[in-house]
Amino acid sequence: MRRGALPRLLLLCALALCQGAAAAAPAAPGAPLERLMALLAQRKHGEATFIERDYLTVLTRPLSSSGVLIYDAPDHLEKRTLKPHRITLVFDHGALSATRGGHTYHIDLSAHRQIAPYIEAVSDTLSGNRAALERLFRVSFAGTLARWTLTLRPRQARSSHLRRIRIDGARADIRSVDLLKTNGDHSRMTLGPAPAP
Amino acid sequence: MRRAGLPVLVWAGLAVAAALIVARARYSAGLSAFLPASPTPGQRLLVEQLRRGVASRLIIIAIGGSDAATRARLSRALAGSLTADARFVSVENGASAAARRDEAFLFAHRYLLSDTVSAQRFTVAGLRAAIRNTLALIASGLPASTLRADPTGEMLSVLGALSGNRPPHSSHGVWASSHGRLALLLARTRAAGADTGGQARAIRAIRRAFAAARARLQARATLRMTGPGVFAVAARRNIERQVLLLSGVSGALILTLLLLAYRSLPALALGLTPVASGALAGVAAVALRFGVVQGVTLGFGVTLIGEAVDYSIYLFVQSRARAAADDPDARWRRTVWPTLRLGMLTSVCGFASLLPSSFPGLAQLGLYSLSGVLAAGLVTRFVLPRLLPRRFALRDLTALGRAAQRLLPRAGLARIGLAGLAALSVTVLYLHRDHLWNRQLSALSPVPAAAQRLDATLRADLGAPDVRYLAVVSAPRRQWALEGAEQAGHELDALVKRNLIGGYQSPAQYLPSLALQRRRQQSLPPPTVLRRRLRRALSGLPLTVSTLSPFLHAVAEARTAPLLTPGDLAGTSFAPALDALLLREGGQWRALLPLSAPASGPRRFSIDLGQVRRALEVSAPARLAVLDLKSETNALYSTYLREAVRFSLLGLAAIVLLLLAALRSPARVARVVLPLALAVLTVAAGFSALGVRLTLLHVIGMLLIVAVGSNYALFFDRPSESPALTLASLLIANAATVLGFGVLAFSTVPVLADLGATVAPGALLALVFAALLSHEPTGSRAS
Repeated sequence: MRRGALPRLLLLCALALCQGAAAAAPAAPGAPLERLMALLAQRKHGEATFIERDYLTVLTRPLSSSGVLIYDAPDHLEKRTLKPHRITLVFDHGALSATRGGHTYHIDLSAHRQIAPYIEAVSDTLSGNRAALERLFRVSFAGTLARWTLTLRPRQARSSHLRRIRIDGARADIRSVDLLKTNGDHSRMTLGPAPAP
Repeated sequence: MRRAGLPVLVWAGLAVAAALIVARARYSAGLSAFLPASPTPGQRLLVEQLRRGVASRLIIIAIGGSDAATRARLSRALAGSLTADARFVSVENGASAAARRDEAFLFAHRYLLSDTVSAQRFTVAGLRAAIRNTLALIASGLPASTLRADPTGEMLSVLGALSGNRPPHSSHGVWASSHGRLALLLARTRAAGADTGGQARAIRAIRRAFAAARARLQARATLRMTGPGVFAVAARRNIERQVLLLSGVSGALILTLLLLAYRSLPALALGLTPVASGALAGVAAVALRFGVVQGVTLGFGVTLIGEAVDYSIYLFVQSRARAAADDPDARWRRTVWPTLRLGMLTSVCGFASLLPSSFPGLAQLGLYSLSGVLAAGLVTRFVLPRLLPRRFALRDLTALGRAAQRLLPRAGLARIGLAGLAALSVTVLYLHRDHLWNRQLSALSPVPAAAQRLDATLRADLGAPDVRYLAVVSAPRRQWALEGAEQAGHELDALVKRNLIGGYQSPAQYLPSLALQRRRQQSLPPPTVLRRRLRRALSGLPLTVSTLSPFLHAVAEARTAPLLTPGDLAGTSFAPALDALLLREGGQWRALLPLSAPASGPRRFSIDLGQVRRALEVSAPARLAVLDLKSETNALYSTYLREAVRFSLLGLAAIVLLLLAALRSPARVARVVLPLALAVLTVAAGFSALGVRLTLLHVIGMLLIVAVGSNYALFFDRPSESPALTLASLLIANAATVLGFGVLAFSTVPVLADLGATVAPGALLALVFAALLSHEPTGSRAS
């Protein structure tokens, strides 16, 4: 369980949580990316449902899963997969843990150097910290605030397990997150409205 | 020197012999004084755990101050240098390297370690079910990195079985306290917890390594340590320091008092001869009988001073009459000595009642005091008179006695007052009857409460075993003990499911028995069979056989791999865990399975051991015991307490019988015993009224009130030519006792403090009550 990287999950989870940010927030001045970050930073809490399809190179067909994403500013992220198995991943105050079948496994981030920068980047993104995000990724913005695509490419491409992350959104709503790993594994997460309470 | 004669020569010879024994005796200031000398089998296990067990070797190291990153660097530096130190079996700080080694070990041996490995697992249906489950888990967020080598998810089974151990919080890659202000390390010493010397060396090594790391990193950080060994070392230092300090202070106070009373240095020196002889005899007797003299016993030394100083005081204060007589010694032998001898014998009865105690500290105290008092008495009787100069006469203390007499109220009034006091005391004790006793062994622990709290907090943060609940399998062979642990594990798994226990650790989780490993190995099909089954199992699943070739490889290798032995665990954190959980003791192997309480539900934080025992009895091996070490410890202490009460009552009965035989009058015996009983009652009521629960040492203190106070009551009972002079000698003797025990009451070692706080007021009250109740109240004769 500790083994292997979780960046895929966490990054997706974190970014996806930005969905449904206060649409009435006044647009910040400056470049579109800056204004997008400002919009994202205003989010204090978010919930969304997700459907994910994983295309793993070792598999002949994609795997599907679905669940709920929860975010609380500044550094609490939760990905609750409900199908096919209930597994909850929590990133809280800099600590990562996974819960399955009543057991909680704590994951030492420093032991997984591939994940750690992404997790930190996630926090920075959610708190609108563009500088920190750009320290780890080359960030390119396409489209308009009303309909945008953000592409993140790791700066240290050689040591990374990740090739790129592509996020599609409309204003502060994230619509989908697309992730490509260096080994060819690829996943796509589509976000929907928050579940009825 | 013709007057000196034989007794003096014998005394001198014995003193030299005793001094030699004392000089060559072994002294121990550890906690072993508190452990039973001849334990029951259950207690033996408890004592074994306390002395050498899993928890006894743990030192929790906490680094505070500075910032989290610096603390983490210090933690790594400290772990680095201590790991290389032979004094430590292991030093863990949660750093990733150790975790990766552990994981690599588990992954490499997953087919021997996983409890889901069975013949059924490797049938077509079994493979298909396991692989589908793994795929579903990967879809749900589990990493896919080990899918090709472990598609049946054996690693998950292994980790699941070990997950009872909640890992600590982590900060900057190393363990941290839950509030995050301390970096934490867990060191296991090679020395057992009871090896105080070895523990002290380990603690010094940690201090040195920390100081070096701090200097190198130029950090401003602090170091704190906790754990049984740390406590034992601190307690030893505390006891040693207190024994020296208290003996010094009380000695100085008593010397000052005697000097003020005698106003003569030779008299002072002579007066201390019986005490010194008694102390020498006492320590020598303990060394001969027990081999090791406990530090606490020396701390009790004042009990002896309190009693033995009195003897020379009685002798000296009456010395004016002695000097005037023709044959002074004969006169003294006729008048004072019989009373003194009776007083000495009552004390001997009291102390003798401690001898059979299974609490070594008490048994030593009893022997020390008994032989000391006897020696002091004999020296006073046979040696001291011969050492006194012919015309030795102390200054007249009659005036002091008269002054004291005037303070005593009228007899009638006094008796009404005492009756009232007795009634009040009985009422207080009755009202507090449910809260009289402190039944926790920690009441005697020399570890300050604050240190115990810190220990509990850090221990909880680290998830370090406090090993309260323990299932123990005993067997003559290691393999049988492991097999027993496996059997017990099946039952415990069921209890975990029912939430009767939260989880458990077992040595078999790291090192399955050879029989089980072999069974697991034999359930792995040969490569061709596995390939054929896998092909059928994968039909309809998004996987191909060729993708899973690492799996085919791993199973083929595992089928012929050598079985795991303890040596294979070297370098992982499971090696020290196995050392702690699988022990060899005198030809017996013991597998220890620490149980943790459920973290939720109605029985949160406690385990119903009755249910656990019943469940384990069904199929578990016969040689299995389930213990609650905390209640065992408290039961042990309750035994001490019950014993002390019973033996004290026996001692009291012996004293009454002795007095009956000597005084030949129940009325006189009653007059002697009444003030003592009243003093004990008042002191006990006083403690209760102040909210102090009585411990073992309070009971012993009460016995000492009777032993010391009987002298006063006996002297009042004796017809005296000079009541004022008698009262003066008793006053000085009493002041010496009260000073000695009063100083003890300020000790930070609870056993010493309890004793002092009981005897100091008790002895004073015994004197006052005896004076008030003497049959011809001395007050009425003063004119």
